[in-house]
Amino acid sequence: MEEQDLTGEIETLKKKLAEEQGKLSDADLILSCQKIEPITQVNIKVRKVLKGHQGKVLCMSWSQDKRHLVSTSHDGKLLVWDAFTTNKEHAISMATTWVMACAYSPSGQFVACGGLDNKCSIYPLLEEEPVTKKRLVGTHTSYLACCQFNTSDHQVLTGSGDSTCVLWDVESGQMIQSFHGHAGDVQALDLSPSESGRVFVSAGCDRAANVWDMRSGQCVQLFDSHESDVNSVRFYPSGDAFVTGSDDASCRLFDLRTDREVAVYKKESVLFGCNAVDFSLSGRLLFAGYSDYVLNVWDVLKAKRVAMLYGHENRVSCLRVVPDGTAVCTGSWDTTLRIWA
Amino acid sequence: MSSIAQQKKIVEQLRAEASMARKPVSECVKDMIQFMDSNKDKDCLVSGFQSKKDNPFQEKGGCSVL
Repeated sequence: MEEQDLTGEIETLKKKLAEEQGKLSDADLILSCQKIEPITQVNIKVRKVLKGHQGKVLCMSWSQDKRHLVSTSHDGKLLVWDAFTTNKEHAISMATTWVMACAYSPSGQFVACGGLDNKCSIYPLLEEEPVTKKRLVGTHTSYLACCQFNTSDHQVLTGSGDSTCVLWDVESGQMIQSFHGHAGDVQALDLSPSESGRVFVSAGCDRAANVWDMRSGQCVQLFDSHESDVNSVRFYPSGDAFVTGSDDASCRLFDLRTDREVAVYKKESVLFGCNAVDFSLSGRLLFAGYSDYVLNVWDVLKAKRVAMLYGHENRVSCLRVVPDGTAVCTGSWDTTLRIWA
Repeated sequence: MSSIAQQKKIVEQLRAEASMARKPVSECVKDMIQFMDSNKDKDCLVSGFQSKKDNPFQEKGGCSVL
């Protein structure tokens, strides 16, 4: 009986929610921006090619110094690069393959990573032999898909194939908070730039993007308009919205304050899944990497593609804009990373 | 988690979501455009670099005075 009541209430609430969301839909992003000058071209090309991985590049993360980056690959290697010179400054071999997640710590002194080992580990970069100074932060019951430091070097947020996200204390390896709500593998997460330490968004194979209150562990908003796995999620730089990239070949922009999808970035000729997304510094451009090797650049306000950038010889698996917005770095299954500026 | 506990959680979340305060889309669009405008000049991938030398990823070409 109780179960029936609950199912009934869920249905009623979903209807009410849709009504509420509809009420304030007094405008349309794309229509409202018709008078704004379109971006007609972007002068971006490959400036650096980072060669050194022997397997598919799966993840990359910029240091706050805007110069160094860390990348991981499916053969179990972690490399730290000087992106200005393309020199490799550290090479660490992990005891696992498919290192799907990596993150540079805010101070630049540590990198966190993990993958099929189900673990999130941290390496100190300033030590002589980082590999011997490895520290285990936390373990999931399935693969580690994504990780990010939470405002300082002391906390790491992880997302996993076990469909949960967990906030860990680095020093003690204790779980601070766990986040249950996804009905499938978590693929990506991003911390809010404006509500830092309080709000993050995660997305995954249940086609949904969940917004979480970090302190209570409660999911506070849920967006599920994608038609296939969501592979990537990134906050709009003001923190008011976020974008997702999905296997359904579209990217979608969701606004938190209006609580709805406000734009879709897709085209009939774009057929392949989108694996990675990020914004330019002002949020005007959306960079999206696809399985057909292309880096597409979208005008966020017009939902129009302004450039198709070719260079990679296999799927683009990850991408990130430099913290100061000077360039975008892509990683690919072709084993290279490229810096576009 | 049992299915009842799970459903209770969903109900809780939907109740909270349904009662949250929302802003009209028009206001959010305005804020978004304003944010872009005020950060436009700093956005090198949109506005480009003032000179090639400002691009830290540009290959250094030609001669330099030692």
